[in-house]
Amino acid sequence: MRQKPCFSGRAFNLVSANFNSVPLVVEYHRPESVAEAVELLQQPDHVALAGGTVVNADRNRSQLVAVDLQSLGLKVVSREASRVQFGAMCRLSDVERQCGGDLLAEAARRELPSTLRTVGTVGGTVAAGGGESLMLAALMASGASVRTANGDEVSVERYVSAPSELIIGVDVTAEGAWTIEHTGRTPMDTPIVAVVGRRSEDGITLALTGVGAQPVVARSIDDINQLIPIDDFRGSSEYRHHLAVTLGERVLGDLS
Amino acid sequence: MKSISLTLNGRQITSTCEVHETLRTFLRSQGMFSVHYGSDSGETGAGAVLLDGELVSSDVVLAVQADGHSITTVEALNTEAELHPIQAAFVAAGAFQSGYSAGAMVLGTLALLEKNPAPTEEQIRDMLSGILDRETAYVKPVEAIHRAAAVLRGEETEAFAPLIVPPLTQQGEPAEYDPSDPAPTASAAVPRVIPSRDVPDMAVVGKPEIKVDAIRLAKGNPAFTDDIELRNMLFAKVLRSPHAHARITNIDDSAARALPGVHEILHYQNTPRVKYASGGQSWPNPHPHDQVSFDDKVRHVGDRVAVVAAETPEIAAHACTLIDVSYEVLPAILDERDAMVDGAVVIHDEPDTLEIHDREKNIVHHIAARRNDPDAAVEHAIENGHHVFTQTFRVHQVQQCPIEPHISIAWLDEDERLVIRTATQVPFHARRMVAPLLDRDIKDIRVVKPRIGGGFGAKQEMLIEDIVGHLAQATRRPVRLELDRSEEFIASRTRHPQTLTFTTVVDGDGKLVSQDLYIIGNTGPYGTHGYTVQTVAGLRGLTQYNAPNKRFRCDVVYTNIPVPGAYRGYGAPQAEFALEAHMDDIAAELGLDCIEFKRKNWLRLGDELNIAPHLGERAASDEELDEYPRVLSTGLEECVAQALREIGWHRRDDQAWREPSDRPNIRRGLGFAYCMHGTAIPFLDMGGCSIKLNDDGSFNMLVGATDLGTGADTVLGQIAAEVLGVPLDDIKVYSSDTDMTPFDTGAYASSTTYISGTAALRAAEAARERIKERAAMLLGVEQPCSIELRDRRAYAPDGRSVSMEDIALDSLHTQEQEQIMGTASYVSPECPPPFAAQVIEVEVDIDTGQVTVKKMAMAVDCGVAINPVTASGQVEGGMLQALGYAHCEEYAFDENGKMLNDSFGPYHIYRADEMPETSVYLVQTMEDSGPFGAKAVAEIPKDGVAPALRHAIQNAVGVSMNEIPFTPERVWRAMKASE
Repeated sequence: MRQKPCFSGRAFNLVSANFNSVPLVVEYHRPESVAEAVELLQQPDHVALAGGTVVNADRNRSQLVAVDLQSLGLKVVSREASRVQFGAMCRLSDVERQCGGDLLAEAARRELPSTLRTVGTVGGTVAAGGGESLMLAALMASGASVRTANGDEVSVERYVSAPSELIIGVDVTAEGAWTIEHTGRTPMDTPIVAVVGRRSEDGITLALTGVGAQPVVARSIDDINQLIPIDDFRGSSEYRHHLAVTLGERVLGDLS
Repeated sequence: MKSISLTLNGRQITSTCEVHETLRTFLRSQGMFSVHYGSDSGETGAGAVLLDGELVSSDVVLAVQADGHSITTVEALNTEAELHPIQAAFVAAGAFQSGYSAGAMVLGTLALLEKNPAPTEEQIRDMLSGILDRETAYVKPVEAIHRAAAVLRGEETEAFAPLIVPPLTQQGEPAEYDPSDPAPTASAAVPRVIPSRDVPDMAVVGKPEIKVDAIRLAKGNPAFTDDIELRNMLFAKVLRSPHAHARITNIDDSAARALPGVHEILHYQNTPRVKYASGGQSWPNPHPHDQVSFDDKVRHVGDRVAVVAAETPEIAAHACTLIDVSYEVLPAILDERDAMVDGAVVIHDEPDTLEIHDREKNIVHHIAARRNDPDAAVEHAIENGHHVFTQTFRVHQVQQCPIEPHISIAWLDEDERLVIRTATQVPFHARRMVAPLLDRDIKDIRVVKPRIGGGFGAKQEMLIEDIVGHLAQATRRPVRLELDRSEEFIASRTRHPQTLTFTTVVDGDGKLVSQDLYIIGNTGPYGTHGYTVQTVAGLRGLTQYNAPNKRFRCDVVYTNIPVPGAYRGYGAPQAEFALEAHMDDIAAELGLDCIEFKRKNWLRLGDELNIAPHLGERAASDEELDEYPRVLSTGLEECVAQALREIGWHRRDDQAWREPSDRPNIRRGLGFAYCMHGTAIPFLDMGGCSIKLNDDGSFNMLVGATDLGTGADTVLGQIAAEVLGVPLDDIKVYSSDTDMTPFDTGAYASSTTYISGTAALRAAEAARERIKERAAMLLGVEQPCSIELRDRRAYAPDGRSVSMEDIALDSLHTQEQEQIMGTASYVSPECPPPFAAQVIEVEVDIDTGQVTVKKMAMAVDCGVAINPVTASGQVEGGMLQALGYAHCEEYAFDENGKMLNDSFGPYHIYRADEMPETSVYLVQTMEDSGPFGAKAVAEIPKDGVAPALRHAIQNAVGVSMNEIPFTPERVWRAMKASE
């Protein structure tokens, strides 16, 4: 029972010229239970519609059947000490509010501008799995886990590498020193490369954006040195590698 | 169709929608015209509304998703005639230019202040981060939100007004820089005005009047091209080329025609082949006329192949996918430096395009102009040990990015004349240019320009009006065509890339002996503005410094990139980047202070503009003229003094400041650039104005000028109000409609205030003379010239007076009835240059190459600012666009010429939450040739940012880069190369 691979990285997938956009959504469902949603999503061309920043913005897709997840009761946030459980449909603006002062709030703020942060969801961000996503990197660096419709709980890192079940929640511990280092064309540009780091009892975990199709988790400069980053018009592979090492060293230095 | 129920502006409604329909289109179908299109992916925020109290982009929310929710648009605030305090604060602070995203900004403020009555500036900017504004640089919107918050907290706020700053210079002489003299403090939004003794105080001119269109913008009233509903309207979609260069060998549209709902399909096989040039310029449009509505050859990715008109946008788009096009793909050229090489593919090989300078080498035009003999100067310099400097610079392709894309709607009216309602800067040119393509007389076409959501030159073009015209004629139904954001990037207009080489000779005293500029200008696949932009580049690159010998040469070449055209600045930003960078490097090479070196050579009062008459659309020959135009007003030294004080110029040489000890990877720097621009095109730009008196003593003013958000309607109204002795509110401005308003060449070339403003002045003066005659008659005064108009009354020398209303009623209804009116037009023999000083502060990360711009300040001599608030808004917005050009905006292509970043995000324009601090100074001078002393202000802010940024990076890290934008990798590589 796999969720349809309906998402692509929002920010910097190289958008093809939209010559022939056609009706994006041909059918719409708003299931009222997770089981109903899962059943719908098993059918061809059915895609999960979380907020809409990815699915509804992608004019190059067509003939979709949207399965809107808004009535599944997945907007609940529960917090126990530093452990936060986000329903998959929590907006990034909810994350920003709930985790003020933490890495997750900063990542949510940088992920999307104000008018989209109130639309994009935690679950959608993980499902979309874009390699430029600071939010996703922050979740990875924080050791976040995903709760899926079949009751499994897997790490975000593992889920992103092999998306499967419908996400119903994301759990994360928002504590420990953290830092973000990033380089972009402008201060709030989606970073060419960013390194987020969190220090926990288990040590320092880094997650890097802008080096691959998904954010990459690293624990040392040696890990980073072995990366062969992507190459595009905003940064060559050589430059991204240099940034990854430089920013990685800074983050490790800050957290050590 | 699906039924949905929601609460809209407090009212429960049930309606139907298509399941694919966005919330934006649904709301517009419900009459919420404040919700505008900016992009499909929602980054512009022009369509942002409140959904359950949260500000969301309605572009990425389906209408069906909103079922059961509460939606608020700005129309909810419009329950009374008065403005809501938030709307009023935006109006008072001059925070709306075009107002295209006004609804979103007001709603965002409403939501923010409901949660947080006293937001910080950071919180305000974060709220605005989702509403891209290409016009205001967010400066005045931030101020407006602060003011709205204060009002809603019940606090008193002072009227928004300029800060008067004492001058630092005397008689135009340089001021001694005093590092202990702090810059004046005020909100960034407040224009700093340095008054001139030559400028009298006036009642309306020079005052921060509220914009005449403020209410319609603040309330989101239907004012833009798309804000009308026509019965039976069809929707057009253009099928565009996936190839950068290809011959179309066949088109089979049969499958598309068979699709239900398709009404017409046009392409080269069924459309008359009428040659034209699309640039919105005066008759006759410069050759070559190298375009047709639909061709059998495509010359860039995104070029027109066919167009479909159908019952819905979706059917039209679907039909495009059913058109079978056969292409013979040809090699493509993307770089202007490759266009002229032997063996390069010929881009315009069709025989019916005439007057290409060298077809085989893709050279559209070769332009040459000179004063005296630069070659001899170089020879002489070498013989005499003078310095000869040669440098080559490369500037890139960027887009104007108006948030409102191109949109046109055409229909046949009751007389079967063709009406085109269109977002254009050039309604009169568009009417004239579209007529032959549609085989119609000009008299049978009416072009209506409603409110425009920004243009910046992109709309100085007859871009899509022919398409809707063809389709409306063919279908006899209204037809609407709106470009999406991707099309706006690949199929509208852009700034010309160029390769510029300066050669300058400097004598032993640091004086310029000669300047030579050679440009290879990339005009893309079509000539359009290619000739005139390059001539302006030559003009701007070779005018602002004195040198007895000057030469300009330019090869304008065809390539296969998206079409360059007019973009605010029109060749000047490219040339002034290269020129100022060149001058900075010469100063450094000679060990001279850069400002002193420039000062030694820059134009002063009375100096000749010594190459200007040899360049331009109607240039004179190379022969020496008896007389050259001269600088008749300049406030440059005052600009320099104010700018240097504002930025704290002494820190440039302060090692401790430049290398902060607590941030070892950061280097700081300051940069300066001197700017000079033009004001309109002499002997060419023309504007007309008509004014008539109404029964109540108010006036209707009809102008052909095109307000793109610049405040032109307001400024022209202020000029007329000053002449007629009435408040601005008594002048009702209407622009522009080719059936109703006088001719105007359009909104370009920094011409509106100067040209159309003088027309307004003269029309008002003509009306004033008749008013004085009538007043003299009513007051029994023998000398009408002794009558004075002020405060809505006409005064006799003895103090008796009669009201404007009484004069109107008498003239219209009582005796010797007449319509008091004045009509005038104006074309100028002059082109008085505005001057400016641009300064910038940066931080550079020496490990990554990332440049962070911390502050920009510009001091501008624009003559008399008719409205200092709108003028400063022009400078703020212009600087921000220029910063994007210098810093982060850039077209990227794959090897086949396909644009890789044709959406916002990948193509990054500055957001509110990452803006540097800005300051604007308006240095008054009295330009006698302008209306009430005015010169231009709209384009000069585009000129200095790139060279000043380069100069600041040089100061910070010591590298000199001859290519923009200064992206992190480019800076990093330059630093590595210099190690």
